[in-house]
Amino acid sequence: MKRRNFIKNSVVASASLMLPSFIKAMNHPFGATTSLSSTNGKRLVVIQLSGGNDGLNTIIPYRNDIYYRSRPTIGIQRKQALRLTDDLGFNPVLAPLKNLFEDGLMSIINSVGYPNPSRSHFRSMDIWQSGSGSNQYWQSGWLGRYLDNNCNDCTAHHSLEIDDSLSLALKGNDNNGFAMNNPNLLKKSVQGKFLTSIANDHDHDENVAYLYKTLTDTQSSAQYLFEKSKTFKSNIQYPNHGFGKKLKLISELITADSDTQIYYVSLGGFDTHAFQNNKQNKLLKTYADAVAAFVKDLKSNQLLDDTLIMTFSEFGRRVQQNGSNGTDHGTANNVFMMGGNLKKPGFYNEAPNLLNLDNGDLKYEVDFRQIYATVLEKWLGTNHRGILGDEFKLLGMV
Amino acid sequence: MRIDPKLKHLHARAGFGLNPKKAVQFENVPIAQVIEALFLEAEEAVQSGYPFSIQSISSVSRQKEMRKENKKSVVRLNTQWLAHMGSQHTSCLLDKMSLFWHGHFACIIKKGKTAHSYLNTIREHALGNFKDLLLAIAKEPAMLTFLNNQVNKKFSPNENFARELLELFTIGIGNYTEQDIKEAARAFTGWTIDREKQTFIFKEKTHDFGNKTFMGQSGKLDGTDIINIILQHKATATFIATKVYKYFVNDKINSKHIAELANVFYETNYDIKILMHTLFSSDWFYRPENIGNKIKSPIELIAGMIHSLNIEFGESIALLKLQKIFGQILFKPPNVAGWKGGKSWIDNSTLLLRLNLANYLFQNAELQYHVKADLEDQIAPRKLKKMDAILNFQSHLNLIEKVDASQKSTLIRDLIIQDTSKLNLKQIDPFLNHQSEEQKYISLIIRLMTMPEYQMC
Repeated sequence: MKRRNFIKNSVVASASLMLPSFIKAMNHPFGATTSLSSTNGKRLVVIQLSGGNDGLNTIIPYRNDIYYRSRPTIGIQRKQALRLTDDLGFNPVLAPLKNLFEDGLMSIINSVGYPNPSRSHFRSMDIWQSGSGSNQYWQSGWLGRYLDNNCNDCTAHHSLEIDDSLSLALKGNDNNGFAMNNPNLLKKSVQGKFLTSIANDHDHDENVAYLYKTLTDTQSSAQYLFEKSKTFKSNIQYPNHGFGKKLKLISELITADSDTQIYYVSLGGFDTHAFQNNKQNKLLKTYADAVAAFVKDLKSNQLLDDTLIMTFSEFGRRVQQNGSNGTDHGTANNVFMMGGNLKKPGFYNEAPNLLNLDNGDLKYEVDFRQIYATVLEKWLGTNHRGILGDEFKLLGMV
Repeated sequence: MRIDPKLKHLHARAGFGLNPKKAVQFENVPIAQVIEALFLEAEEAVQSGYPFSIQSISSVSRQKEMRKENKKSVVRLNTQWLAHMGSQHTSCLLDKMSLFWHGHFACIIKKGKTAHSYLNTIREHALGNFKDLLLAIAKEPAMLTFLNNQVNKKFSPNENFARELLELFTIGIGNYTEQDIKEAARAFTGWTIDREKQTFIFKEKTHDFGNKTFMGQSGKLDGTDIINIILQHKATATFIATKVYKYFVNDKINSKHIAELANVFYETNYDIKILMHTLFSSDWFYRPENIGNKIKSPIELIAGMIHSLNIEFGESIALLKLQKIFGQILFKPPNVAGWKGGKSWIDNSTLLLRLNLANYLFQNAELQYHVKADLEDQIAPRKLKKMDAILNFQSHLNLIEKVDASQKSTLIRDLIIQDTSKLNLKQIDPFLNHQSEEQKYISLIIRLMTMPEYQMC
């Protein structure tokens, strides 16, 4: 790879401010793209609940005796559940999402999982993030492979994880997503004089060239994201916690028409083996408060129709509570889809069948790769086979 | 004085880099003799026994506390091993080989005792015979648990271990059938663990003594027979030689060189020491296209920096945090396929942290970085703050004392950077601390370690 010595020659004053745009201009010979010109204008936001969220205490089968028999002390009481249909209701801490559900902005897919489920956090998260089957070991992520197949000339921040580190889901074989927790800190960390200086004037082979390219891309994206994050200030009240701030940042980037198409964010701590209710309710409230503000924010800017928000966890939990008022690792779980363009809002399919269990665990009815396939085909507008390695039956939720 | 490029390359690949002491020790020594010295050192290290302390964990009644104790004990072993890799007084070749086999026999380990046993086995056979290594690993409680062979029973076979044995550990996909996996799984029934002692046992009751046909051979085969049959196939030697080549020589394979290695490996009945000796002694190993072209894994980067600057950390837990932020944790590979390596180590976040590592340690700066929440932890991700590392530049300063002023910077550059052909010292000069001679060379070392080229080995 050849790099010209252009920085030294062209930028004399205010080097630190100008530099990244120049680098960008070089990497993208036709100049910086301003919106999602290389894509179809649709944005995807993935929210990962890490640790295994208990789906049965999230969406309550409030008429189901088996549920109450299996969970004598931790079951969410019938009168507390926020009724959505004749048999299913929200955990009361999800109240901020009830309007969204009623306005047709939410679709809940029950019993999502995969064959021969793993009850190990690491393995199951690995499966969900890579998009593999449980007997396959893949070393790249499903969104990373989307980048490989569709995005070889995209900006480095085309897929953005709001975090200090990048998840496997966003790692492709040739392309990666971008990790950023805080635009100000990122900008500071790449603009040291030394890093700025070494980023120019290089002619390297293969792996070394890859490092230099990643460095200049990072500088360029850091500057871009910093500027975009300052373009628009949301006037919606977000909850004042880390997760709320992350969604607020995503909303501000989307509203500023930044050219990021995929956003990824995690909320951790759902591994509730003991004294579950306080912990889970607190986490679900964190989730619901932030997501409600986020949806409201996008909607007020007419951006919800082009945004799809997907929430998943690596597995659900056992139907039967354990001996310490908690639940152990289970299998199938619900997945939430939100957005202004859902084809089948409400409950996508029936409530999980608590009579027909596999060793005390829910049986899956929808393979999570069907959801990925549908998102890839119908939302991102690309063929799913090359990315998921197999043909999956599409769903009708978007 | 000059740094022999071969000496440097050998240490980068057979260990964790060349430090100043070794540069002096091996100055003008023919490379063949250096290779002998490395193997001798490794052999002595194996014979002198096990270097890590096994702290028996107090048996506590509650399962949750037991898990905690186990976790602590694995972390202790993890940081001890990494420090051992970085040490200037250990066999770097043995540690490097052990790291390679850990990635090959990738295994997530949650119990201190089984992690110790697994690592001990790997060290013992790392440069021994592959068949012995394979058999020993197949009996390691950590592996039996990880791949569910403890529940592989006559009337309910579990194929997980058999499948990975063929696909990842020995011969690779395309050389066996699904039926072979089923038959191999039957042969490994009853290979399980004593739950209390956490040791290997063979349970006759659950073993399938029936007739089996595996890769065309029939009989009342057991696990050892399966391993013997797999090793009869030369494809196994080629599979391992390819992996060794990619790890120690070049991400891009060269079929001719791999065939050379595979032949030696097969003809010597899978002697790992001879395989590695052949590799390090070959001409092609030292060709320019194989020098400085591999991206260091996080473990190689951390161990290499420790090895070079004799770094001591205030708290050993810093070593675990570094592994977390760079994305490679000993005893916690992503899955049984191990670490992907190469470019996959690098994304925008890990690259910046890697480039800034030496400087962070040197300045003892506060690192604004949140470690992702552990899936099993119920605690919020904790901020990684100061590392309290002590860097020791003395041996570098001693080294340049003996040479002319005009050569000092070049000598340091040649010691620290693998491929110096495209690295311009003039570019770094404006960023050096010129307050004193000593400060100048210390800042040069830090700046060199900030160059993307330092990420290469």
